[in-house]
Amino acid sequence: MAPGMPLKEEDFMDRRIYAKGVDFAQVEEAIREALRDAGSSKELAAAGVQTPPGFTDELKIAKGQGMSPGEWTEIIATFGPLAATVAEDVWTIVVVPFLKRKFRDDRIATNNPNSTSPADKGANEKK
Amino acid sequence: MTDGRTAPEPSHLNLDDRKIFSLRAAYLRTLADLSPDALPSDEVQGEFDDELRKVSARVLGEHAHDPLDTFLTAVLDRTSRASQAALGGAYEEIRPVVDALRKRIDGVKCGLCVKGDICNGRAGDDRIVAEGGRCISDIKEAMRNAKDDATREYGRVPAAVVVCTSGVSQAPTCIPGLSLAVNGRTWFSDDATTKTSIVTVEVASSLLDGQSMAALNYVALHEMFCHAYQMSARPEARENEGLFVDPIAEGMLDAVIVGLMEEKAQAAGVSDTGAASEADMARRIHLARKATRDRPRFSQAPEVALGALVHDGVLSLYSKEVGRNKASQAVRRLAYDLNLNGWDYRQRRDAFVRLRAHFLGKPRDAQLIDLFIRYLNTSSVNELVHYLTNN
Repeated sequence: MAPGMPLKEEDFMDRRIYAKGVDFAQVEEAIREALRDAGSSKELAAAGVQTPPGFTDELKIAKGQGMSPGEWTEIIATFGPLAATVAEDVWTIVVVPFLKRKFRDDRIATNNPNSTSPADKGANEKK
Repeated sequence: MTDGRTAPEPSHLNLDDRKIFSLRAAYLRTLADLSPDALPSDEVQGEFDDELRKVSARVLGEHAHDPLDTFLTAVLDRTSRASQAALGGAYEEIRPVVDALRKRIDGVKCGLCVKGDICNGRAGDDRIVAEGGRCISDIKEAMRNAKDDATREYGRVPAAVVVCTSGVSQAPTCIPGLSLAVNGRTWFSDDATTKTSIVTVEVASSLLDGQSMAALNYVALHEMFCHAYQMSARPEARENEGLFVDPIAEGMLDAVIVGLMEEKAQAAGVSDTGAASEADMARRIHLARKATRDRPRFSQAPEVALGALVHDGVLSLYSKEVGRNKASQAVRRLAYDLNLNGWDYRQRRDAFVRLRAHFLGKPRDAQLIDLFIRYLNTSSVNELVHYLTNN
């Protein structure tokens, strides 16, 4: 896992989100809240995804360090091995929409809105 | 983190960002190197700067696939022609800047950076920049020097460091009172056997100014000294920062690097205005980061102030024991050892909150003071850490 790096096979359990004007503590709590309810998610069920017991047991949520936080905080959620087969779907179908509803669409992004990288700009423009 | 993961390949600023960075860095270095008598008036310089920005954006768009060195020459040629037309006789004020900048730019040859490979705006560029990257030599040199300094000061290399650069469009820092175009971020990418710190220097190339250039060395030192080796003594993989901010890294080590920069500037003498302005910039950033009474204030001001307070408190304590010079060295050694130690973010924060009471409050904890003094003779920090995490 590392910001800005192309995802390798072993990175599939890291998921990142960018938050603006929202405390890290609030985002962390919201991610955990979304995951607590994931098992009863209709959207997840419709997608045929079943969350295994304990899939959030080893979940870690972090924001990195440096000279200064930026306007957009990069937050990385690292799932444990039990979540291997469901992390991507749970993140995309449950967590991200939950965060956008809770904190507003313009405060949550799945790619760094401040980045000049073509990959990030393209991904943000598609949304 | 999974076992057996190899160190990641570094990613870097895209070609467009590097073109702008390279141009602005060369221009700002040129201005900094000229004697004050040779500098143009603010009005003329402002006019030239505006023209340089406009032409850069135009050339970037019109000749997107040109190599970086071609871009630099094209921009300077067109800007000097446009400035001559706009300024008339006043152009003579900016001519020394243009001539010096041209000389600097003429030395940039993409074909010589990594022989046979020239960046073309595609995925392969990252490898070329990692191996060569002369277009961002200011950043690479700052990081290289910071790594050398950290190795020397820490006395070891407890973690591998991968240096990346990334481009942003807005100023990447949120330090009240300062608008810097450069910032640093560090993430740990450890596995069961290896400690790896990914240090990313973020740059808003189009916003690069004199202050940001002066801050570059401080940014590199902050990431290396404060974060790259943080918690490296921990046997298991290091966790990245979550809820708790580390006052040791953000405050105590930050005070250390400002001291190092100021000592270096003093040793360099009055003729080295670069070292002096960089040390001044470092002190400004440190003061702004720890200003708890400012509104708005830096989001981590309480932790920065706490770490800086402990630094100053221990320095004062040690100065009474061994004199100021030896005390400075001892506080640094202590700060490195506390930072390397495996205690987690919460433990560090809680310990330093308790320490504040013992430096400001009365009565002082005699046993704690004794442990600090004992460190002077033993250089072993374990007893102190144990006491702070259990009392």
